[in-house]
Amino acid sequence: MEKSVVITGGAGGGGRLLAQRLLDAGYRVHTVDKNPARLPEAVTHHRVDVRKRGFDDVLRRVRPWGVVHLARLHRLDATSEERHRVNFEGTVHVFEVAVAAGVRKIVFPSRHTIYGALPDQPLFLSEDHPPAAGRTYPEVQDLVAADLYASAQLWKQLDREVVVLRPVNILGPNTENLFCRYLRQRRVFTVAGFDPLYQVLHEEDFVTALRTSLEPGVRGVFNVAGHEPVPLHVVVEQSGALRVPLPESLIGIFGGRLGFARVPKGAVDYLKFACTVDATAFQQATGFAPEISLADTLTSVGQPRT
Amino acid sequence: MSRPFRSWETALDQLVDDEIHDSVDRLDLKPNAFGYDRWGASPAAAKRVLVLVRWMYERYFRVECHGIERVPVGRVLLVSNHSAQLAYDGMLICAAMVLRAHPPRFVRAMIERFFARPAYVNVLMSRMGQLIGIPENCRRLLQEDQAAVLVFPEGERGGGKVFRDRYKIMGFGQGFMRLALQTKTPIVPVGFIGGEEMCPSFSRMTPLAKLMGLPYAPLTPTLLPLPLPAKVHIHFGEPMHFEGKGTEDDTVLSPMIEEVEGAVAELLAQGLKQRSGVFF
Repeated sequence: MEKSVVITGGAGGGGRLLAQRLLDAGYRVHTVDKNPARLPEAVTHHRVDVRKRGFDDVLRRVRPWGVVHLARLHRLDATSEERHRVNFEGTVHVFEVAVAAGVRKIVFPSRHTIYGALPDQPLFLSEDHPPAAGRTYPEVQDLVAADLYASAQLWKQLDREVVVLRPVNILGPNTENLFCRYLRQRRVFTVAGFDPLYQVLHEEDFVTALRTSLEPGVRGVFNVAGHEPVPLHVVVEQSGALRVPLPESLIGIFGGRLGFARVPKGAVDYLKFACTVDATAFQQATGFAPEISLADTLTSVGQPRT
Repeated sequence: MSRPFRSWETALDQLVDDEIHDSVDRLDLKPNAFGYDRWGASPAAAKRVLVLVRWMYERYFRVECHGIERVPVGRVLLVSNHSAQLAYDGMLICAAMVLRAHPPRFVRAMIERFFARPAYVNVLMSRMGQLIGIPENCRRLLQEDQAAVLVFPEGERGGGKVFRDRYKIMGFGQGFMRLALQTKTPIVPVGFIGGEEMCPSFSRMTPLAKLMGLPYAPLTPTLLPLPLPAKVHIHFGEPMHFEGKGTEDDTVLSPMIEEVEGAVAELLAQGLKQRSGVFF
């Protein structure tokens, strides 16, 4: 019998790509999202909120083999309470319901930003490095908490497989994260006198990493990176944007004006200091390697959606 | 870089001659398609900086290098005394390894954490392959086969030392020895002479330094960051091999560290005896 997988946050760009990829790989695919979705016909879409009772109902009926929990509130203009409710409490709820429904595999994509960008941290952080983002970037506390919760489940749920992925900056035409939005502005500021190393991963390669994580036997917390890092100015210039180095003191004034992106204060550190990861553990566990070249990944952010 | 830097870069590129091209192209750097290696170093930027650094090396400090052929091929940890207030000693040792070693070696110095913060300085350091001195960085580097890493185990105690303490070793930390043992890396002691006279400091001015967020604020008659043209001698010692796991007690490690410290002190003592004058 073919395995069925439920993707939460399935209406987003990443959810749609993953749904198609899993269909191609022979899975039965269900998506859950509170928004309507434009999905392939073979996918069953359930329009419910993962935090509400309707979600319990979906899992009880579908009895999926695996759950990929993509649903996240990325907008930083949402209140921290709202973000906490979706990103942290939502995650806890998804795990609880999935465990109750006897799901065998839970994949939780976190992100590398939870490590924080600090001047006194080494390059190429391993999975053991404590997530220190909360020290200077309180807006991502919810994501740090969700990551730690999910990572702890790895040791509590010994009779099922839990995978926590911490991918580096995901770029692609269908991806709507803060970094992509920053790069898609007419003018992109960098902090004058700073040019940290950046690692990037194409959205299609990220989907490959998610699909690989569904393979039986894969469990653990893994950094996911594609290529060797490049300095931020290369990322900005390759994306096709006009790069404007601004002194740090002016970023608060110009952010959100004159075609520049608005970036929260804590996120400016990521434009000054490197937050790079060592992704060899995931490569060794799964054989994962990016299919899309570094150059193509860098230019993909400005391309039209598919 | 933005436009004003571009024109600077082009101007400097024209000053890069065959010697520099040849030395840098033979370094064991693996730049990607955009010209940067995985640690952020850039051969093109290294060439531009070498134009200036070679002038300082040959004309300003008139560096004399002794025993550079003792540095073995393959992985190596260079351990030097520290002086000069700013990182001129690191710069000149790295330059010696590029300009005078056969084949040229790219040395990554483990620098003060402080250097990660100031604008532009941090980018320059990164492009030159210098990394802030955190054990994880050093360990990862020493896992590469051809790595040559330079450390100053005195840290800022040595860099910011005052003139009356010149050529006195201010006590080596332990980290370098643990890393050398863990990665089975031979140690080459280095004695750097001239650093104490190029920027003599009479006080660390600790309260002021604290106010400014610096490790020390040297009170010096020279106009910082400009050093006096003291003549520099760099002495490389015989490679030293130690056995161990790197997890030993301090009491086991101390004699090994003292041995390296003694080797550096010996190079300094001999070098000082041989030197004919501070500036000539």
